[in-house]
Amino acid sequence: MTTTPTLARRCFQAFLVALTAALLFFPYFQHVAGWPADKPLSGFRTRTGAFPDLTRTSWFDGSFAKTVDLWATEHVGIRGWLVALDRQIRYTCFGQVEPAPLRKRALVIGTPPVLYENILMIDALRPPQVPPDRMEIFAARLRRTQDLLREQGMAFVVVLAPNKALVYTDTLPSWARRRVSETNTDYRAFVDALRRHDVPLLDTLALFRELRSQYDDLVPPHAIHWGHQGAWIAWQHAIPLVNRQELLPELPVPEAVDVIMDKPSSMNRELRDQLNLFFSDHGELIPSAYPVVDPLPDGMEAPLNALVVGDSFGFTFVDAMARSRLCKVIHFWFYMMRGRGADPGSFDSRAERALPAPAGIGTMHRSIENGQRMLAGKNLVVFVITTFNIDKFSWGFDRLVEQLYGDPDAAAAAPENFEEEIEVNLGD
Amino acid sequence: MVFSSATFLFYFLPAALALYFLTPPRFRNFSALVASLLFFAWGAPKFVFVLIASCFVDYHASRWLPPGRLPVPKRKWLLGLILALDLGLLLYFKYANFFVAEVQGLLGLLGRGPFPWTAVVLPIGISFFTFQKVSYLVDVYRGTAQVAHSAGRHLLYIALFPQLIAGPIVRYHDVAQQIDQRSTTSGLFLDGLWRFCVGLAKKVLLANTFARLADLVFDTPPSLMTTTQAWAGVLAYTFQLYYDFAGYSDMAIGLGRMLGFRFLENFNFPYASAGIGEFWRRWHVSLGRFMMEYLYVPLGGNRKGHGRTVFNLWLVFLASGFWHGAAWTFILWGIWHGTLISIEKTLGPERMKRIPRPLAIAGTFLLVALGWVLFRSGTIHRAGGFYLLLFNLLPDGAGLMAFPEIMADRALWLAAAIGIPCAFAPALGLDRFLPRDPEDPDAVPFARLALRFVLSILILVVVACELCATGFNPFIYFQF
Repeated sequence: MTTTPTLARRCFQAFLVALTAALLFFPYFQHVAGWPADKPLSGFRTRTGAFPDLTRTSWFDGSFAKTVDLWATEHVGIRGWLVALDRQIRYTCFGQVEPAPLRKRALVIGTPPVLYENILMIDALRPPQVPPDRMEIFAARLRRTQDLLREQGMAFVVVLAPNKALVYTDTLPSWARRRVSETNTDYRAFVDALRRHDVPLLDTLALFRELRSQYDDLVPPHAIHWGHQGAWIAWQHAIPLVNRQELLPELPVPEAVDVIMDKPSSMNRELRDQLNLFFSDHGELIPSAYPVVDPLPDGMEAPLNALVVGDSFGFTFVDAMARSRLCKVIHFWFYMMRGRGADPGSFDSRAERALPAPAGIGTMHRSIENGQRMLAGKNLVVFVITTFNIDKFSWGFDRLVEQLYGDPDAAAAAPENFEEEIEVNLGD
Repeated sequence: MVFSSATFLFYFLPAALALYFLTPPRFRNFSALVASLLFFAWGAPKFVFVLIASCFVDYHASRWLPPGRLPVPKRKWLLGLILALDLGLLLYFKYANFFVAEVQGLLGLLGRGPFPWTAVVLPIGISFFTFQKVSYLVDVYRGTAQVAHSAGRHLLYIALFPQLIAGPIVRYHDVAQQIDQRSTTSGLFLDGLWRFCVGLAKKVLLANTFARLADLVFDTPPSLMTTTQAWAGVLAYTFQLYYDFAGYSDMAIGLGRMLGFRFLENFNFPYASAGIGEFWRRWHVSLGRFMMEYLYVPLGGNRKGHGRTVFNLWLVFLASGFWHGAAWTFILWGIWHGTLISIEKTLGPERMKRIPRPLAIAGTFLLVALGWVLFRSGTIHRAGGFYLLLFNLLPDGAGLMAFPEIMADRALWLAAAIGIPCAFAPALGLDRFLPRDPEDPDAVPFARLALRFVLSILILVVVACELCATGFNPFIYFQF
């Protein structure tokens, strides 16, 4: 049975229909007109660029539709507002910004103001990735690396960077707090294996656990990596390991003349900036400690020409090395994929809050030529990795050293063909 | 293109509605057809021509099918031929890969090498629109509906985008009149919008949330998880499937109303059923009705004695299982339901009534949920391992690493707190609190109309946020 609606009702219903139409067309309108401005999102990388070309082939093989489906999700008008609203709803209602199970690179919301990156949690929750026999081979290779470098006059130190989830366990979400353990990671087996083979190792996880009551932000609340304070302390503790090798003149352990509470820098806001929320208990900008030293007096030359090989923890570590007045040249071979260079001679950490961006060397894949170039003139090699990168087996640095200074045939015929998965942090 | 995608929500839907409503009423069938063909071509750009051609053949053949146009034997022969063509297309596109794989397996057992075969791509929605084609031809043959007034109208019935790819399966005689003449009022449009948004919420907010747990469990070998985790996964999948498919049906019904069509309901609280027979009167109602009308009754229904009735039912469910997918797991799932309903039929309604209703509902739910294991497992071997674990016949594995994380997700608990009682609403006496469809959408009280509108917009915005933040999410029933 139907009734004839009154005029008032018809007007009201027509108004609601018009409102619906306006709402449905609004994202398209915003996309075309660019008004009102969309909310910028940080940490999101779109996979599609311009609207895909429509060709007969792309239409009939379905690739056009597939690309447009993805494009539509990424380029719809007011997307920034919609994404931020979604995250705000989840944050406010459920205490997280993404649904479980989280992606590897997702944010984990800890007790305010602490944030974690999920890969740290995965590392601390999953079973160890490297079988004991493989770990033994890897440790032996690092030992061999040390010996070969020593023959070339280079000291070698392994710096194991800390997993934040294992240092600051008490601020993890409650479900994870009870379950994370260092025995889940490759950490314990790695440390034990390197000690058995007498490889110089700085275990900063143990060190930071010991020191965390004395320092507020060894790993800042909003950071994935160690902060400037943490990296500085790590470098301080690495010096005795270099000295113990008796290859170089005795190096003094650098001391900071002051600790400046740095304005929030990229290092202590790398996770905060990915929150993309309107408001939160985790959003406050938190300054972090930045130890500084006097510059090297005129006429004095720093004793070290260093190469740092490793993951993204290396960036802050290079900064700490540069501040210490001990390094003349520092090269950083990031993931054995990209080369960076720093010239700390002109650097005064009291005046500048962070090392200027290292002079880019650019893409530098693992090869004999690039190895020769990066190791030329060096007297110190530091291998910096965190626990979840132990299973990347130094990205092949050990085999490269074998090729350069040892037995090239042995390197080529290595008994283990380790997987070399390259992962790049969002903070890179 | 799925309803819960950015392409559909932000681009196709506004454009299709604008095209439809800006067209003069007498040309609206044409604009609906254009939009529908574009919608279908988006997912099956080549097959759209096969669809158009087969509909063209169906329509022209159907003109000779009404009673009295030809002698009965010729009509029968013609109907058989056209049905064979339509079902042949379904068999080829949906089952050829399955049969070839089975034959290859047999040849392998006989020591013969496999023969070359290029896998056939399954066009989306073929199972659904093939049944609609069958419905049209049989209805015209029986004289329960007249031949469509034009090939375009026939094609519109088959290809109408709201129900094209995942149902409900609309019988021709239910919509024949609406295709020729229908009224689109703002009240019906708003009612359709509300229903569409309810469906969106079911799919995106409930089904997708349950899916996270279900996917984790079912995508992991049973040997790696614990019995508790396996049961949690089965329950999650049981509710995921319901809200996924019921959500899609709601959206289809809602979109239909926005365009002026009124489709019949497809779900009626199936998990509140106190028996398998009742379950199938409440779950995927349009499929049940189709099977009843176009297969069970022609087979003889219950007119040829108890034994034949039970056999016919069993056969119908076997066919239903095979219709759902070209895999042994679906066939077993059909057999499972066929066997259960045969047992129920043999016990008779009197004995069934003696079981206390809450117990009967719980038992039915459990049996249905166990059946979904076959539905979700890709292979019989995998399903077997899962059943062993469910009944504690397999030692517990190390456990799923992400399980505690998912169980700590309050979104899952909120979805469960809303979704589970709503699924059992009639059994819990909650159905009176749930919104009902108004008899006359233009007579809904103002306050209710305004509330529904505000809720619709709220759902639309939340779903849009979710889609933009988490990306693409297909419907389970697309694979059928």
